[in-house]
Amino acid sequence: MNRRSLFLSLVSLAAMALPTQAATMRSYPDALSKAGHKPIVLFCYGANYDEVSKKAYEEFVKQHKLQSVLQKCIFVEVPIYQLPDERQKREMEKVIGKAGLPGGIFSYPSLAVVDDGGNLRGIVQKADEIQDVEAAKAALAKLLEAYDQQESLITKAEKAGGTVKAKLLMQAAEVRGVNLPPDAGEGGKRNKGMKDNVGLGARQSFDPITVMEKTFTMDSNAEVETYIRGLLNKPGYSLAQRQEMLAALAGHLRRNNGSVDKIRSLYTEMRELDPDSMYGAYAQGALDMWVDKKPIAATAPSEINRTNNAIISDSDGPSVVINDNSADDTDDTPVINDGHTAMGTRAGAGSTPKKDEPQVDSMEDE
Amino acid sequence: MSDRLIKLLLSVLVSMTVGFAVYPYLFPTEYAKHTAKDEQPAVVKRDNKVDDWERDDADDEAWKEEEPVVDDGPDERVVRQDDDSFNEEDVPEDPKQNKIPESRVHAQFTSSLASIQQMENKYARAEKENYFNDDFPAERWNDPVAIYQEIADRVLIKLGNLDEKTILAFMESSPNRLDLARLTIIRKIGTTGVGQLAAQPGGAEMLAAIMRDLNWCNGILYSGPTRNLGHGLANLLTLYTEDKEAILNDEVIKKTATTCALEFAREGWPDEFMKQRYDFYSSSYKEGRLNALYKDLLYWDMRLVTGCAEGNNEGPCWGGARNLKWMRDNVRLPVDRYLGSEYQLQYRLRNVAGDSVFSGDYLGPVWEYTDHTIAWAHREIGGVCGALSHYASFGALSNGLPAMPMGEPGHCAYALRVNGEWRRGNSIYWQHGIQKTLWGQNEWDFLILMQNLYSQHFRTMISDQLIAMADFLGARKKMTASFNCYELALHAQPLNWPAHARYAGYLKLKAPNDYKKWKALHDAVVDGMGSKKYGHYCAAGKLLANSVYPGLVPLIKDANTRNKMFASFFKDIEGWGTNRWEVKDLLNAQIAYCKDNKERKDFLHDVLYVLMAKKDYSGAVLTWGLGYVSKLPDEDGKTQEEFSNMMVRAMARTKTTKKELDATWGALGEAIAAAEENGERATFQAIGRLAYAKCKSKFEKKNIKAPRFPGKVISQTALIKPATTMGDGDMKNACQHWAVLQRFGGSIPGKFEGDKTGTLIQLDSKCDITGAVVVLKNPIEKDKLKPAFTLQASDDGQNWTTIVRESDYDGKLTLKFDARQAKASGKFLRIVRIGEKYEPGMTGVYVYGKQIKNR
Repeated sequence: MNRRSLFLSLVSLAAMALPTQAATMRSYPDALSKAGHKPIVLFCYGANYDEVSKKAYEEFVKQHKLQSVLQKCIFVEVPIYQLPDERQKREMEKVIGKAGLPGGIFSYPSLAVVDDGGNLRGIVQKADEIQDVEAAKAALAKLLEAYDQQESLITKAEKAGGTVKAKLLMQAAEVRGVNLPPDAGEGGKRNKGMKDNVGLGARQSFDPITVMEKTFTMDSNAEVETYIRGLLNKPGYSLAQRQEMLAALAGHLRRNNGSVDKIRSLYTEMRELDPDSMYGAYAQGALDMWVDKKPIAATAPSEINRTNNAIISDSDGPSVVINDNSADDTDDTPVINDGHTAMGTRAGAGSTPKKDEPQVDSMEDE
Repeated sequence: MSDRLIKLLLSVLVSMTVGFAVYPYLFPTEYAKHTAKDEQPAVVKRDNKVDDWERDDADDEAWKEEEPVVDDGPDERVVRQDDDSFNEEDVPEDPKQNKIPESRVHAQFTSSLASIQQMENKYARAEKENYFNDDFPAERWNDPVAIYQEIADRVLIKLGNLDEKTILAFMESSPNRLDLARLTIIRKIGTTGVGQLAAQPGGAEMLAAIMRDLNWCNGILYSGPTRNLGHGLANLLTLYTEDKEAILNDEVIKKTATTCALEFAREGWPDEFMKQRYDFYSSSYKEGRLNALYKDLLYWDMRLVTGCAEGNNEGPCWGGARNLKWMRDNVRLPVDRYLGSEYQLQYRLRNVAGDSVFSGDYLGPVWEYTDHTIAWAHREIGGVCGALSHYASFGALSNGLPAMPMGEPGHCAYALRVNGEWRRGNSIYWQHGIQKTLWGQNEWDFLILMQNLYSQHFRTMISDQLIAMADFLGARKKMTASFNCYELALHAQPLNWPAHARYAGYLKLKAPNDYKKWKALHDAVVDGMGSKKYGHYCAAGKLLANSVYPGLVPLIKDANTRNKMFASFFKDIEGWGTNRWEVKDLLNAQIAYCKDNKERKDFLHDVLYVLMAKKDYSGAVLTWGLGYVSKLPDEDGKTQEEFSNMMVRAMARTKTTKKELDATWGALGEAIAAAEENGERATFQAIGRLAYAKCKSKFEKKNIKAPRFPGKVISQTALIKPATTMGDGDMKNACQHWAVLQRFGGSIPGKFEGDKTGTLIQLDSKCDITGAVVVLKNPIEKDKLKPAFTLQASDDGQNWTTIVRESDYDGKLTLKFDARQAKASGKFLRIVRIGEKYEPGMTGVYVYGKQIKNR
């Protein structure tokens, strides 16, 4: 081993001993172009107006406390300025680029996980997730793990074809906590050659409101149940989507004299599909409200009792009260109605033509 | 010699002894006067409020004055004076000050206004440094009467002969301003109220802390109305007792506490929620969880934040501490990004289970899951305009940024302040009713007025201090100086809306028959906030209608002069100003002073002459005028027609250049839509014909070829009304509805749903019906062919008979209703389709038949 080789080996060993650094890029467009299958983690933070962001920036970025979960990622700091000056605007433009950030970022600071197509695959932004570095790290690690799992399935699917491809993509869609990118869905570039025998297309185009609205056009509870059971029997739908179908069915029966036992069994079925989810909680709430009759609905708000949408003021000025007979049909003006030609010769309804009033041509007989 | 000297010394000694003994009785000090008074209860001359000015706090039992005690001597107690009342103290008349000064025009204030301009810089420096004076420590606040008299005496001495120059010179000094503020606070609470507050644990200490601090006093007094100030300071004492160190040492916390306390008292909201609101904002600020802009808020705009509505924590409230906390932590954005943040919620009229947003079932099942947090619940389930707009505005408010929901007809939108400018969010209409308002006026113009007024922080403060001075001098029976101060305050700050209203109240009390004074106030409003420089037409109009006209107009005997004055308001206005406003409110207020139809006609002539030439206003004025006329008694059968024709002629006379074509078209569209809404057929027709004359190019000649039935076309002079709700865009093109009835065709949206929602046609008179033809914009979609359309007839528009059960569709664009078999008649027709909602456009609607004579 010559000196050169020895030196290189030592450097390599030293490098291995250090924790691997995440690849940090200065701009989001650069990250998109170089990410490949790696996830891009965007740390979006309020740069000049928010102490919470400032603290998160200090810990997440300056003190590298997220480093251990970012090793396989491309990391981009995205400063969001409030009322930016010219320099800050330029900085934001440079970092974010023309395409802009993906939709779905509701709050700063946040850690958005994006793929090279600019699709938001998941995000850490809830208050309890982002409140301190340990919580954020745990949430991000979980998200990135799900991303890896999903991406590896999609990559495998890309190499497969037909029904195998469909099966793999469906498995990818089932990975919890991450969104399947649109290009892996029906008609997407990562979907080419797929033979959809697993219901992936139906899953991706599912709209719970359309399903619910359809139930309103049906004549009987039996018809609604047949329709919803038909959907439930089809493959592909996620647990949340199935819960939404059951909510539509149970809701319909509830409003249309369905039996309490039936409603109980539907909400129980809905809850058991995924008890820890929001719709699991919804189902439990529905059981409490409508089956066990707990007084929840009385305390829950509705749109009409709080929108203040009738606060257009009335005039404070003196009101005019002059024999208000507007409720009557007051238009009893004598009319010379000579049919097709009447309009052409009359300037005002029931009045004789006046010089300065507009005239309209008449409707001719056919 | 020595004897004489001794005698002299003795006599001097005796004289001095007697003199010292007698002096206090002959020349009592102010304090001694007060002490003597305490021993001898006296008559209190009570509340001289203007007769019809309501005291808003009549139910505020805790702060009611003690009953007056009858006696002969003077009473130096100060009766609480709220923003809407005028009290005089029990002091002798000042013969030099009981004259109403001559009215002055703006130019006569030039010298004083120049001084005021210079004062603004001094105020800015003084606010930066702040001024403190401990001359009234806590132990003295148990005797507020003594304090008041002491300060009042020294203020009056310093004010000398009470000329304007001396008054302004007085105000330049911080110690003097502190004295004026102390007097004002005591007067607004009353000495009894101050005494009660001082008697509370920590009360005297808090009063001393406030009354030594000029900025704090200014913040309390000059950041908006001070209604229920006694209650407000009691609220503040609750907070002070618990968080004294922070309130005294941190200006932002001080502002937070003060504004919470004042706003909850002013709004009459429960005290316990005031505490929760304070805890939320103070802890959020201390923890650094609010937007950085929060700390820069002044007292007035912090009132909008900490005093945001819906403060009930126990209910499903957006302004409850629980919801604010959730939003603060989950919707953290830079200020401008709250605009549009409503789309974090899914717009859903029914949730996935089909439950309506208008019932508790919509959010009920997740109410426990979301910990009774309304924003969170809506984020999970969805919402419509109310939820969306509250979400965006309370997202900003929870982060310490001024915002508020606002009502629009049938809709909820919101307002958000970005960089000093109020912007509309989720808005679909010009008419906005803001949720949070300082002066009880909820039009958009008042929001902008408030912003413009308080943005001129020092100028407005000087104006407000002049009002406080005027109030004090008025109470001290220095009427001349009081008038001068009020008038200078208005000229110093023409945007000071509450100051104008207050001065009008004083005028009503002291010079109700002084035409020149009233006219000067009128002109100050018209040339001030009602000028095109400021463009606060709505606020100016309300001020005139509510505060000025009731005093001024009865003093004008000549109707012509009065009408000219009314029209003068409109002469120089340009555009809508800060926002479109309800010009009809002002017109209604003005025309209400006309005694008979002749005066009304003259009024309309004068006002229409001015307004019809203004393209923004012509449509609204035409709509108002025609609506007004339709309600006039029409005993001779000609009055309404005469008035209507006059208005349509006035509109017809206006020139419509190519450039103004769109504006005229829009104005007429708005007017015809109102006529549709009100079922005013004659008006509908008159405007339609006018539109055809003035905007011919807007009508497409569709050359409609439609089949016909026996008889004549009897719908040409009818009114047609769609079932759809029109937005701004639809309204602008509403004259096309009229064209649908004409040979050349037009366009009208159809909306058919169930057995009542359809298209209504109101004929000129009752007719025999042979049939009807509808020409559609597009062929009927296949799945909409069934159920078929139905034609109904009615004599009264209430009771309907189906005369054609099934329409005949030619497969292209024409629907025929053959009514020959039915042998029916009616004045009203209705096309309906009993089924799901279907909205096909129509280009022609023709009804055939024959008018029935001798109805």
